[in-house]
Amino acid sequence: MTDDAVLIDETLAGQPQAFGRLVTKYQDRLFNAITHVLGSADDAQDVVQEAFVQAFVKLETFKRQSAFYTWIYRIAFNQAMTLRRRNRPTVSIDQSREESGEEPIGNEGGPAARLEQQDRVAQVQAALAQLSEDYRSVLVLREMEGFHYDDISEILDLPVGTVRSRLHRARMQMREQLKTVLQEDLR
Amino acid sequence: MSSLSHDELISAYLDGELSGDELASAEKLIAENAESRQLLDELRSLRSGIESLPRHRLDEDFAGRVLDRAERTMVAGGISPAAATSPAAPVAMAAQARDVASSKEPLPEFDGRDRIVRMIAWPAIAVAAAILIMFVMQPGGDDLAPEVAQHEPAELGDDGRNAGEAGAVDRGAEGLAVSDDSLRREGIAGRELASDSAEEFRLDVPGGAGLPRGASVPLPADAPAPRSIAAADREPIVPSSAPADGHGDHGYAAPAPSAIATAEPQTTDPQPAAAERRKDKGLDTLVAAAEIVTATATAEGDDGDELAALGRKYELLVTVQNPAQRRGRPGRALGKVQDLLEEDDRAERDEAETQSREGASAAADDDGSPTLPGTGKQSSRSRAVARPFSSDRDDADRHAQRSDAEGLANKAELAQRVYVLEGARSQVEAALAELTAEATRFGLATVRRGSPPPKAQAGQRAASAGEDAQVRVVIVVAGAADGLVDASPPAATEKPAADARAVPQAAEVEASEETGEGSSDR
Repeated sequence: MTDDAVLIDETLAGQPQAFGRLVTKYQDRLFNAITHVLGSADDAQDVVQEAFVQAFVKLETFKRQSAFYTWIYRIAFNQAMTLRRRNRPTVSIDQSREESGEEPIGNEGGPAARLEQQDRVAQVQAALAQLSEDYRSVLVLREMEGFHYDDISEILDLPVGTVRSRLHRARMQMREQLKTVLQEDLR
Repeated sequence: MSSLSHDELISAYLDGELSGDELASAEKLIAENAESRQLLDELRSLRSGIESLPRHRLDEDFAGRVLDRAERTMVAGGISPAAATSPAAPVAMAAQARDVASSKEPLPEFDGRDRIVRMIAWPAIAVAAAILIMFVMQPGGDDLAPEVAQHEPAELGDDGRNAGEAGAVDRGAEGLAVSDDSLRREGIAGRELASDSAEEFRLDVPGGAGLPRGASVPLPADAPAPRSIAAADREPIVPSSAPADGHGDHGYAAPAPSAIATAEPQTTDPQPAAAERRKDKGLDTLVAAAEIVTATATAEGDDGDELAALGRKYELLVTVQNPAQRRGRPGRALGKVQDLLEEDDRAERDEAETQSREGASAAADDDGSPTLPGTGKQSSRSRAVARPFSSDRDDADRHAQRSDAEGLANKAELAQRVYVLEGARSQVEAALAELTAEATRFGLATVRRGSPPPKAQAGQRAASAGEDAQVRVVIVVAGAADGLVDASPPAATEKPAADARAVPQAAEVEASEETGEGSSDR
């Protein structure tokens, strides 16, 4: 039995603190992914919170045919899409980053290197933000979350073939926009 | 040969999602085609770039907030965002919670989720203010308790009709799923209430707490003051299915509802007068229905489902009145409860203080009563049964418990839901008995105000009418609301069921009634 399964069992047995541990375990990962999907840290926080609340309320309906994180991600993603339909995003990822105040990973090196790294991050973010929502979602799930196609298919309720093709097109679009950056990387 | 384009094949290869022929094709491409190798390298670089994007993190308190929100959702989910139960929750999120709660997904009874509900709801509800108050209203309404008019003038209708009648049910009530119309459509009503055959019970409504605006309760200014109900006058409703041994099927001591009301104090009770006084107050200090409260509070869209189910079972008409009618007056009913508590029981508290000093060290519970699920607390009902109003220690405990409850109540708000059950007396009584039995399991306070007329009288009427008399019962479920969510669950080492017992005490006020006949307007 996995740790998650144990925590779920404990939660269902009346120990909500076990669910708290599940939240703690996955909150950042989920928040990060949803932030990139939505392009707004504030919206993502609301969505993630509500997703966990929903998961708690309906934990008994979790059939455990997938990993808990897959399940919670799907809840969060659906929440995000609902929110997106209700309120089209107005905050860019760049803005979101500034608002959330988070720091890029890989901040080591001298000032020049950091500047270069920040510039590269900004370009990747911009390219990601320009993807359509369908492409961005699948790309985030794959590249940030590391989900397999089957999981992405389940989360997004898409055929695996569609997942693969969308992922491919998303990459091609990103590749085109980041051509200079990518080629510099390869030198 | 793969049907995928070369680029797509490389993309899938990067992800390790190829096998068989596709994998072989990709490997061949990469080996033989420089452009494919270039693409693979660039995609790897792209992956690296995405992975290097800043990681967004949540603060350390996030999990706590999630649990708080979950608690609110499960405790107060049955209340509309406008209601007082969740004022701190953003409206949008409350709406989302409502969406969650109103989902069609089944929520089995008495399973893990319910355990969670009960466990979480316990400190929020039982500790502070969860009260299930049952009013058996007398149609006709010309002789209701004067307290109603005195305390709730704004809530009294001017058309001389009783609660539960037209106008009292807000069909537009947000989040309320049960309406008389819908229930009638579902065949729940079972039978129409014949106005000329309705059995009428008269109850006082102390402080008017729980009467919703629109619940018309006509009251003449010169109405006689209600008189106390002696315990012997009351006929606690005993479920026909209640086990004779007082044990329900849930492992808790669950005596017939009459047990508490009629239990004789133990001979060791040093305060027989006090015990007798309590008894004479006519209080059915029924430990009540966390299950009911939580069931109705769990899901906005499910509000009233518990009672609706009872309605279907017993062929009763169940109507739900709009809890949002309480909007803008949060805490009022709770304040009344507190006032009543203080006025009614000051002397007893003094006694308890004295006894507390003398016997506090012995206050640790050791009666072996069953433990409520997930709470570490014992069933207050079982305690009451084990030592009904009997000992010094009980009084001391009760005082401490009441103090705790008062403190919590001070920061509590009260949300109320009002339900009306109508139907044949025997059916209504059976439904109430079931509610009581469920209540017993979870140790919330149930206070029944007033009482039905003597069964003999009712039976005669029913017999003369050739059928079971029709009655109407107004049930006010007063649940803990915002502010209580901060109440930490009591530690297991605390005095068991303290909070649960405090609430009945808080509502331990003089029950009064006037008996008489009237006619239903329905």
